[in-house]
Amino acid sequence: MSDSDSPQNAQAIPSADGSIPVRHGPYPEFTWTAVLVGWVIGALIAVSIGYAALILGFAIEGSELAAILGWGVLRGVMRRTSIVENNINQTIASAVNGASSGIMFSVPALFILSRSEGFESVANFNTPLMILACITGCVLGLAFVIPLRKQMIDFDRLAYPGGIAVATILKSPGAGVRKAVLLLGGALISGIAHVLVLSLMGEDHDWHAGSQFGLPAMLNLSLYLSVMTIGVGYLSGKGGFWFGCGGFICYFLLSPLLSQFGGEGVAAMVSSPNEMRGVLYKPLGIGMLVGAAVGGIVAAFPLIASAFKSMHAAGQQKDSGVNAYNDEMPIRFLYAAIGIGLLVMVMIAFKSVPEMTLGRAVTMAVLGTLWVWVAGVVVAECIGRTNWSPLSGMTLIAVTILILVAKGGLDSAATITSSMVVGAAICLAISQASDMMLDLKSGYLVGAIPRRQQWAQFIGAWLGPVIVISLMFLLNNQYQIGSDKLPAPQAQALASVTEGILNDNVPAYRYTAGAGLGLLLAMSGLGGIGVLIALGFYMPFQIALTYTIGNVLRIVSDKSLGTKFGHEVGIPIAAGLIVGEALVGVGNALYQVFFAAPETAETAMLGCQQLSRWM
Amino acid sequence: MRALGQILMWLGFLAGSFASVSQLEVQDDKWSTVPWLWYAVSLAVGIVGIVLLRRAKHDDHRDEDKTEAEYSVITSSLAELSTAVETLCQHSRCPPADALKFIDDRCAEPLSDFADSRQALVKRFGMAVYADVMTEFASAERYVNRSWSAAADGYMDEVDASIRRAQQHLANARNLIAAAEQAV
Repeated sequence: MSDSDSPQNAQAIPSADGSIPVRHGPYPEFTWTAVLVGWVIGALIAVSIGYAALILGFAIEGSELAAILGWGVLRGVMRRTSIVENNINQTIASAVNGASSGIMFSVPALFILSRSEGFESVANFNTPLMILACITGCVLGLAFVIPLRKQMIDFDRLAYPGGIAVATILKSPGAGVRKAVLLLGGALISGIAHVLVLSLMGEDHDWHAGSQFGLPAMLNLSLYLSVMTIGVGYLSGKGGFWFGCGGFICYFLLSPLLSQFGGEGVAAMVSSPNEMRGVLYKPLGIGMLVGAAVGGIVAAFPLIASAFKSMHAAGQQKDSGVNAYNDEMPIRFLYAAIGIGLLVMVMIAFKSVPEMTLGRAVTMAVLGTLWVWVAGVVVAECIGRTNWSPLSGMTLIAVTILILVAKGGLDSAATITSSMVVGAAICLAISQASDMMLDLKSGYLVGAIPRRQQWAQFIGAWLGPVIVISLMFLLNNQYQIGSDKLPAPQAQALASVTEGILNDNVPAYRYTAGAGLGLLLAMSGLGGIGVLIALGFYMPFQIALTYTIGNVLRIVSDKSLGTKFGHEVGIPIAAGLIVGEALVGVGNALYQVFFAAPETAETAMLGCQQLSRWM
Repeated sequence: MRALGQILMWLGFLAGSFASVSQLEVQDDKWSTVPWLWYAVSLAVGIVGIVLLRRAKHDDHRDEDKTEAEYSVITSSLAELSTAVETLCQHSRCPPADALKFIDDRCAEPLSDFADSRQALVKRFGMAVYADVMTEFASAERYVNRSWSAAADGYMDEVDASIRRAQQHLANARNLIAAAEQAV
């Protein structure tokens, strides 16, 4: 093969319109400015989103916000001119913010449980140990997921719709006026649409189309009114189509069959799709996710082994030549991080409660660390294929495993405390793993050096737990977590589930059945359908339906207008659709917190009702 | 064979799913909630389907015409991309706006074409070669993207350095493919 094979052989660079000032010297990337601005922006976002999450019951994706704020501060205020520097700033800021959802979902459950009889002592957990656990979780999550970068981004080329949106924002200074207008247009459309939905429908964003057309309730034909979700579906493309299929299998196929041939209780339940999801489809979906992810790792083992082998080889080479692995973080550092992280986890589990034995602490730490790896892979792949993370499901399994290990030799209060301390670490690990992969995709698209981004993530990750746990204590002292002012719906849900696990109320048989089905799909060789169909079982069908509209739009536009149209026009608009709704979501959360005081409790209760449908 | 494989796989999956959710929890014996025998038979049917699907896929890989057509996209897009990168290396002192437009016009499409046809590498050479080639290709693509970012910001020294890195990674990819060709 030679250059003569080329269909084109241009020898000159044609002139373009417009001019860009020429700069000389090194291209700023990993600078102190990026680090400091990243810490400040990350802290702001973590406090805002963490506070809002305690009141409203849901967390908002902070990556796009971090990119936009970084863009404004670095380019607008500080007059700096580097896309890859802003990428590092965004990586650090989103790493700091990674703690907000992870911690607010898990740790406040201890305050809520402490108000139940017999559990008063669970709120007296060791705070520095909890912060250390969360930081250790961050380190473990990153160390496990970084070696999978090559498989997920270079080999499988997962879409990471959120990563595309962030990269589109980062690249906007050079993308030309047309793309910037498309991005802003998309943001404006989705922002206005979201304002309308919020003002007309409040917290319930579902349009129950089926009931309006007189269709049976079991079909669950409702649309989640979110233009952002359509944008995400568009960015995922036809590859995400199986996500919707999972939902169709549940409600268009299984529910009608169950209404005729299912057990007595199930047949009576099919007309209540939310209950069907909570009791049957979601546990099966959680199991399927795990089975499909493990099967996917087995199927991709030659690729993963190849990546590891080359990373080892790169570490042994002393040349400074062009080796693709010189851009990667040293594999030995990651091994060391996992080893030290595991030892620290053992110490954390052992110190979590006075009654803890060393053997039990080792078991909890080892199983927890193994689960970090499995769940990190699951969540990173789900985010990569659909932009949705089954974080709550994975945390639920983690807490279940830990409680089952702990409760054999500890009383209930000690079991809860130790499980939550280690569980919080796992929750943070999973959250950091998915954020890292999303950021690495953005970095890939703007041409960042992976190793620098990976260091940036480590530099940002430690700060989040310190800030968010401090915030949590401040708010608990001021307003009491679990009160009307701070209902913390997610933590309420986890607290009730935790009590359920203590009473052996765990559908382990359905998780197991789901894992087998997930493995079956993973073995099919039809890339990634196992995880996608599992996510269709796990997620509300309304979201899957709306997301499918985006998939269809992408398929139609690629067929009729060509893939170039998709890249030039479709992607900037879709990225804008994500950005607009995310920004209005943050704005609305802050408005509810600071200006809608009389309705706060009511809003939060609506959030609770929403969450009970979603969890 | 492919159609039968698909039918059996989905039949097994759906029957297994139905079995898994056909009953509410049996309080006295939770693990008996799922009819495991039925479930196991369903999985077995699904596995038979997968075996048939994999055999059909294996036969597909041996379909010379089909594989050849996909593989030609790999070679032509790689050659086109190499030429574009070569041209940019020779004119690395051009104005940033020109470099930016050139990358958009000449690199985006072959990068996308190569990525879309990458499975042809697995069919022809196997997973190990695929991994090695994609490692080099992905690095090249990342450095082309870095050149774009640097050009957008006006840092022409970085454009020059990055596009040369991309050129070397593309050369590595082509060498790996050439070596694999000889080994076949």
